[in-house]
Amino acid sequence: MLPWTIYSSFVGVVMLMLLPREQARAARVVALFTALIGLVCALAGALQVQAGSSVAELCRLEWIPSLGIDYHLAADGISLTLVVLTGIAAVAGILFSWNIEHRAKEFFAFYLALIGGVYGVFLSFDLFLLFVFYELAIIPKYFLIAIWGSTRKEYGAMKLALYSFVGSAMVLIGLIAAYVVAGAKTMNLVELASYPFPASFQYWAFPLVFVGFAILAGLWPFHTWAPTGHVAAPTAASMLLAGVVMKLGAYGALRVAMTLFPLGLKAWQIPFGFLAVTGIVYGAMVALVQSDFKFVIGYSSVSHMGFVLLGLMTINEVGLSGAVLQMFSHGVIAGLLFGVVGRMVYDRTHTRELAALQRMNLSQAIPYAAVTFLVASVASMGLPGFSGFVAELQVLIGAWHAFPTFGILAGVGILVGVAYMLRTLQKSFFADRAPGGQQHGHSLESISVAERVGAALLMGTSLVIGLYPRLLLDLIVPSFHSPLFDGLRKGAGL
Amino acid sequence: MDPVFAFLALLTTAGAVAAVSLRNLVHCALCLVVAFAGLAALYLQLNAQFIGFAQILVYVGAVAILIVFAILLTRGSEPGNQPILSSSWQAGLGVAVLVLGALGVAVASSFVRYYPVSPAPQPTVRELGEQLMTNYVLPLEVIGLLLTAAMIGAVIIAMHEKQGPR
Amino acid sequence: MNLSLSILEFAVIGAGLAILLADLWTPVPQKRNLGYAAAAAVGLIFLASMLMQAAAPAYAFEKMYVLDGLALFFKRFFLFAAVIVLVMSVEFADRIEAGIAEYYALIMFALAGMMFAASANDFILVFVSLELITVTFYVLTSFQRGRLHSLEAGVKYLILGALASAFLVYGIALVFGVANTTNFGELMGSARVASARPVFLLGLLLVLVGLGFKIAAFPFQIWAPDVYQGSPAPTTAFLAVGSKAAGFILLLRVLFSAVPEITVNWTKLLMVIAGMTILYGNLCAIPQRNLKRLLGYSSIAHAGYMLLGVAAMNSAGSSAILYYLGAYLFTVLAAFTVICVVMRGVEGDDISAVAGLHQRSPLLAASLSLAMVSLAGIPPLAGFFGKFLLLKAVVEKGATQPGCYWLIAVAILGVVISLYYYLGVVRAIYWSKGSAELSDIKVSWPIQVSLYACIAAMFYLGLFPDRLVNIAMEAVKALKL
Repeated sequence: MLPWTIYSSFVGVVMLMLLPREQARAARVVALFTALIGLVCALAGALQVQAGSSVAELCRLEWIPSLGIDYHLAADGISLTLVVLTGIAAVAGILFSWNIEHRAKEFFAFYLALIGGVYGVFLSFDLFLLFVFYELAIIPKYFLIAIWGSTRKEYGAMKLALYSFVGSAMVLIGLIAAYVVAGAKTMNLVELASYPFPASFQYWAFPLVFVGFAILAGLWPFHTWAPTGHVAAPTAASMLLAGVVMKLGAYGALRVAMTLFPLGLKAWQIPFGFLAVTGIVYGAMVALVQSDFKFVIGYSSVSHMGFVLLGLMTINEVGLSGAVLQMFSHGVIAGLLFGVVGRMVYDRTHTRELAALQRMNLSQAIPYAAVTFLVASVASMGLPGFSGFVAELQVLIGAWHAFPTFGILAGVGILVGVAYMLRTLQKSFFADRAPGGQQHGHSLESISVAERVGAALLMGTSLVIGLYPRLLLDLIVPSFHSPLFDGLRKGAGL
Repeated sequence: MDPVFAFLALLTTAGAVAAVSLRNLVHCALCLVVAFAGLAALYLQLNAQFIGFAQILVYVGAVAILIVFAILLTRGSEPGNQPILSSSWQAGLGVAVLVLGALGVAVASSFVRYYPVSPAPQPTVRELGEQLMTNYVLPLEVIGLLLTAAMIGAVIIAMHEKQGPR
Repeated sequence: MNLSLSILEFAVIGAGLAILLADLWTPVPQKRNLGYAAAAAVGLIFLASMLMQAAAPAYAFEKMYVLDGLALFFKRFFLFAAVIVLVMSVEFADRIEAGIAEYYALIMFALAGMMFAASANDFILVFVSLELITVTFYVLTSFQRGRLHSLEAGVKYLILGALASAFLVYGIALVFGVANTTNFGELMGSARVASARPVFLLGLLLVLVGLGFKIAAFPFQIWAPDVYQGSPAPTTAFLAVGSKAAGFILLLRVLFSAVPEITVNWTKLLMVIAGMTILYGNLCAIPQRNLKRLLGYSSIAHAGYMLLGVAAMNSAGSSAILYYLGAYLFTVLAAFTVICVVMRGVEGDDISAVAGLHQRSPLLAASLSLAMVSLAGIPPLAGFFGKFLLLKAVVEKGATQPGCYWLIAVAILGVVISLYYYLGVVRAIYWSKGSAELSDIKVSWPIQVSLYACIAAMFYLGLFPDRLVNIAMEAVKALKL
């Protein structure tokens, strides 16, 4: 079932390419249908595959036998969590871009290609395959932003593409080095993870691969692509970018860099933990002073992804599972936030300046948007009942065990997060009506059904996980006992 | 010194000097032919048959004819008005003397002089021809193809001067 | 003497002469279609080459000529390239004022030269085959006599090419003077003794300079951009693919078949040249607006990547070069075929000429974009796997030569830079504003076939590289690595 998430996406791409040029509506329907199939496959797979504390094999074929490279798909609880997230984000993104008319067929083709690549990364257990899927996502990202984006789109797109490319090039070197050093002619993740790489090799290979992946996860100070890229991207693309693509980086850092090089991880734990905390606090501080609505959300993504990276650096079970849960949670919440900003507000008001929005009295013009954003902000602040709370709490507990100082600093980051979300909420939707302000209210079109469904899907997901986190934690936690993490347990004392 | 060598050397040098000092360009070209022929005779005297005949074929035959044609087709044969010697001939002479001196010193101090002279190979034209037709027949054929290609190219590029370069 | 070994070359020469003769009896309007005949003939020879086997090296002409796996690999490579280039030339025919049949014939003569080069096992054959290639290219570059750019390209190529030949022949003379042989097999025996003589090393170095010109390696790359820009598109394509590959096969033969013992001392030199070539090509490509000139610089960069494989000095590196050339073949030919079709009546080959191409012809747009993406090295296209193999070879070398890690860093830097300008071209195709010309472009069916073939090959090599990797690994067994 699970591999069909990948295949169905690419089949969707081919179908879209075969559609006649000016059939925007058909393209949307095909895309939504494909994404729904992907989501169903993901959910069914998550129920069907009982990974437990092992890695469930899905598909293994010889691909390039002369180099020992296989077409190898497998899944554990972490993969399952993120595959489900991808399915949800994909469907929501399409619902939020229902109004795309300009070259819709190509838009959705690139969109589905990106989704297919992301599914592929989460399910690959052969490093070469993983890398191919990882790279596969770069070009669609570039096109989505550069063609359909706004605000300095070509700059943002090129910056994003170059950052991703630099990161993946570093990863590639690390992977080749690991392949050559192990000398076992295999790219199999589990086999390589069990190979005891010499410590001196790990000391430089770990930061190379980790940073290579973490660039895409918005690791400070390599995060600068994120705000510009998010702002330039069209709504659906920024939902995917924040919701899923940044997770690729964090996933790769956990799945590849940490499992392959546990000794390197141990050596670099404090420096990277420091960078993660800096990202949390820095992102939140910068978000506090932004005047552009979307930049606030962009920087908040940097801050929230800092929690993921901090969770990874704790190297204890609570922190790690918190990090994975935060990936899921942030994927949903950031998607929702970008959906509100990009689709519900910007497409209607054509401005993202908080000062301008302040005068528009949006809470009455588009009440559904206001409510959605209220819910999303509350979730983003990490209030109990939503997924963000559980995830960040776990990360904080983990960090407290590993390095208390960083834990406290991260807590400060949460407080600043509350501040900037409240400020944004107030300025965007719930400003006191300024005297002489524009009465924009009546001219705005109302929120469409597609948007309502999309928003409800994301809000519901966040709420369900917030109220019953064991749904995911039962998947995530056992997977840290799989053979894949043996090295990490021995080498870094997980 | 071998009198034959002395005679040939004098002839060659005299031809070369005349080639640069005469006023009529056609005369210069003909003097150059004398110099080439003298060189060819020198090669033959050194028993280097092939290179000697090649010198006659290529330089006395082809190159000299080409020069004469070029002169006839371009400037005509009337002598120019400029003086033969350039105004800075002293400087030129100085440079020439310096170069000669440097070369002389280099030759005089070269280790080559102390090497025993190895017996010179005695390839005759016949042997060279046999080699070309047996062991080296493939390169020879490739060169034949090369010349064909070059000729086609020359014709293509030189032919049809209907319109000049835009 | 075993004439049957070089049957492919003689077939090509015969076909070329036949085209020249057929020209006499062909009415003027039909002359351009001779190109299809030429392509068909070369195509048949290509198919025939598939039937040939070269399990063990076979020699002919006093061991001057060798037919081994490596030679056969490159012969097939050149033959395939020539087919596509000939099809491209038919498309280009109306832009050549006179002598289109001669154009086809010269391409085939150049092809014969490349095929001889693939089998060269003696410096004499190296020199004459290289001269055959170069002299035909002097003519092919200046074939559009009516255009100043074409003449300029021809003159520049002539002068610098002659200089390179001079270096090469001087180097060969020095090598011969010391070692008393020009045969690679005998040189390998005497190289250890001869290598004590600096004159011998100087000779080899000069040979390398001559070959460096051919592959456009730093610092002998200056001719490439001008010549690429000015030449007719099919010539440029053949120059980029065929001439470069001929340079590489000769480089591999000289370094790893004639004097392997000396080559191992030159690792650092080769590493520096590779790194500089990559950086130069990529950095200079950034500001280019002329598409052919851009590809000229990018071809320098790609020569640099392939030199990585030479510098790695292991069989992984050499087989990676072969793979890379295979990928490069389809990619570059696709790009130039598109350029050849699109740039009809466009002066200057500016990138803006491809603006809005996706509306004028989706096939051309897709081909050029895929070619750019493949050149940039993004999976799942062929270019990525080639770079993967090259980097892997260098990493393997890194165990004994720590400087390799710097080289890798430089290579990665180059790849990242290249993404910028390749994506620039793709951007122009899909969404640049203000393209004046928006009429549909008619693409003739032979061009369509060759484009589809190139695209299919790009995907095939990227997705299923195993077959070509195995072939390349077999082929480089002919070298002493």
